Amino acid sequence: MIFFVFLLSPIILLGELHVILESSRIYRGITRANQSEYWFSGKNVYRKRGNAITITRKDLELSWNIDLSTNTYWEEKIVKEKKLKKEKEDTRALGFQYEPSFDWTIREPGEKKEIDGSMCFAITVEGDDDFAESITRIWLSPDSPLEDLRPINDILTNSMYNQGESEIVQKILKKYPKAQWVSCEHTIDNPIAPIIRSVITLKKVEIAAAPANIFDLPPGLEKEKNKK
Amino acid sequence: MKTKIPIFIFICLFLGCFKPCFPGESSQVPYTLPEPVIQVLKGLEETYRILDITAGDVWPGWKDYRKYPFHYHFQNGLSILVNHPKPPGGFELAEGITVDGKPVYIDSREISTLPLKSPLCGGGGILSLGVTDDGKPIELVDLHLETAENAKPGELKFQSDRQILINIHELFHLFQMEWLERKFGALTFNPTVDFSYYSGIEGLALEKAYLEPDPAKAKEYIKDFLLAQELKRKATMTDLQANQESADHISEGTAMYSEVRTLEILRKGYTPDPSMKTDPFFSGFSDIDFFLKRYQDTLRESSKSILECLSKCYDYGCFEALLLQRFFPGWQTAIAKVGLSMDQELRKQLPIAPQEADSIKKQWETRYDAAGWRKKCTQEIGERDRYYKSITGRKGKTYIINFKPISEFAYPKEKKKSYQIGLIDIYPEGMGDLKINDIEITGLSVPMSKNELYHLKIVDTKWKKGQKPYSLQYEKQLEGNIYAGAVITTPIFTIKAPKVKIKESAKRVKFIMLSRVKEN
Repeated sequence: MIFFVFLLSPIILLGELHVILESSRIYRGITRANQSEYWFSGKNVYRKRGNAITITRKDLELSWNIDLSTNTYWEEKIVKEKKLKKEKEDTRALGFQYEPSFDWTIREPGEKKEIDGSMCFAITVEGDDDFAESITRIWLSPDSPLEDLRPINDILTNSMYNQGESEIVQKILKKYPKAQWVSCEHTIDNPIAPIIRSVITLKKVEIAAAPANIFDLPPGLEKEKNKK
Repeated sequence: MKTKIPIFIFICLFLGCFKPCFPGESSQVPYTLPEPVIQVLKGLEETYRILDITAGDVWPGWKDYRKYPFHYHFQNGLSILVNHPKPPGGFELAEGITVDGKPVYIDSREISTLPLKSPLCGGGGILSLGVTDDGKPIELVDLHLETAENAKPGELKFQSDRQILINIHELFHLFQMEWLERKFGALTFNPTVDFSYYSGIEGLALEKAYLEPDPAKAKEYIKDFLLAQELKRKATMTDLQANQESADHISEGTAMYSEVRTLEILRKGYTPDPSMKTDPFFSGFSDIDFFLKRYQDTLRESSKSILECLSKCYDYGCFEALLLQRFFPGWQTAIAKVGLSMDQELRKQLPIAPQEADSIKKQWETRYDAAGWRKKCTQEIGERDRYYKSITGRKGKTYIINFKPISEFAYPKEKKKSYQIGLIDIYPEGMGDLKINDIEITGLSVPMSKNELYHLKIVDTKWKKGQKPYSLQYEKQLEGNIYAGAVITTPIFTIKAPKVKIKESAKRVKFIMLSRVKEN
């Protein structure tokens, strides 16, 4: 069930974007389920999953990675990704790191089904390479009340492990500027490892007042110097 | 951490009959656990009994070998868990069967009609399956067993002994988690000429040191090994790669050493459990010399293996450990407590003075035919690189034959020239014919590759646009693009497959093997 809380109380539209999502990953017959919570304020992001919290402060160009189980954290600088020059082929390293270069087939908009009272439509992205296959089905609700869908879309595209797929999904989502994804099913058949299936579902989207100081480093944590 | 599976380590097992009923299923249709599987489980029990005798002498403090679960995978799709605290969905308790008093769980959902035949054999590695209540991964020994079709008749009687040694090897990996800090990833490295040259001398020097009865002379050979390793690393490896190599030598070398030490200790006296008498492929370690000789043979093969890197860590590491044990007993403390690598400990014990290095090198010509060896390395590495370029440059219609759903590594019927680069096996003259149970592939006579263990890649360079890439006959279309009893003919090769899925796109055609045998 997705709760668009702000639809019921438009007064709190002045707050921060708050998102809760559930994810599950099935690998070798074992399902691992998680719940993640996000707060977005401008370009700053708070994310909590289990005992792990990541606070991304783009204004300070750094992020804090907090481990609540040990009351420790480590700091990372946010570095703009540079396009790497293609290095000269080194025979010593060839053939060990298989990175699929998928050919993509997109079916949009495909199936329809009602999710939490909203008639949603599916977009399916299939990737095919010599030794790997990938299939992603994204369910979109056609009329999102949110003005800016980028934070929510970023959650989805950042969850994709293949860069090519992330880029193609970004393009698709841009084609539907009012549609908001509500769930995403992903299956990857790697060349060697068993098939991995994962599902991400948005459980709550609201504009609300964020807890005080949530984008600040909590006091009392010990800094881990050597961890990167 | 994957176990090297030399061809000789092949197993067979067998006897008895058992019919457990699964709880929650109809007791009218009991599942029959195949006889070879019962013998596999008996072999595991014998492994524990042997380790009760040997483990403390193999490595100080080794006691945890009963703690870890085993996960067996069989060719017919049967999957068995022994001693797993939280078996995943699909596994059912095998009532009335235990191993060393511990429960056995069976997953028969994916089972095919393929009969399991002795001798069975297999290796694998350490994996985690599930998590404990406090969130820690459940580590276990994961083994894939299959019928050893190619076992030499004279060696059949030793097959279950060999599987016990594999069990010990894998259990030792789990024991390593107590004392081995894994600071570096595994080395992934394609040999260069310098690498193969020095590496060959390393292996030959280790063999000479091991066989040399005179301690002073043996130590000279150890210095040959140490200097060759140092020069190899300077010439062709980064510091990280050197550290990775040393770490692999500890990880795999000491696991293999646990096998050899077990044999050496069993030589002093061992009586198998009477229950093992029913296994015709278990000799009770009656010929220890036969086994020990195999380790020397594989060390020599490894030394001369110009294109190999990974497998050397098993043999070289094992013989480093054996030499440390012979000349510097108590060496384990330096490895487990101080955190040194085996080569560091040897260097500490047998330092090479700078002025000594030149005189050591001068002896290599006569000791190891150094010049001839370098020439051979240059030639073979050059050939590999040329074939790699030519195979990756082939353009045309691509065919992929995918054996992953049936976990088959797919080897040619007859040995063919091949070159390995990473996880790519290049066959410059093709693989010829393959026969895997009821699957038959014929006519693979063009340059091709096997990639990522399970996938054959063939490019038809003569294919013309618009040309039909294959023709298909079949007994039954099962669903969509899945066919039973299929005969697929391409311009290059023909496949007979009991069950195959075909996927076609503009760039490639994939033939995905879904079964080894004809289903009823």
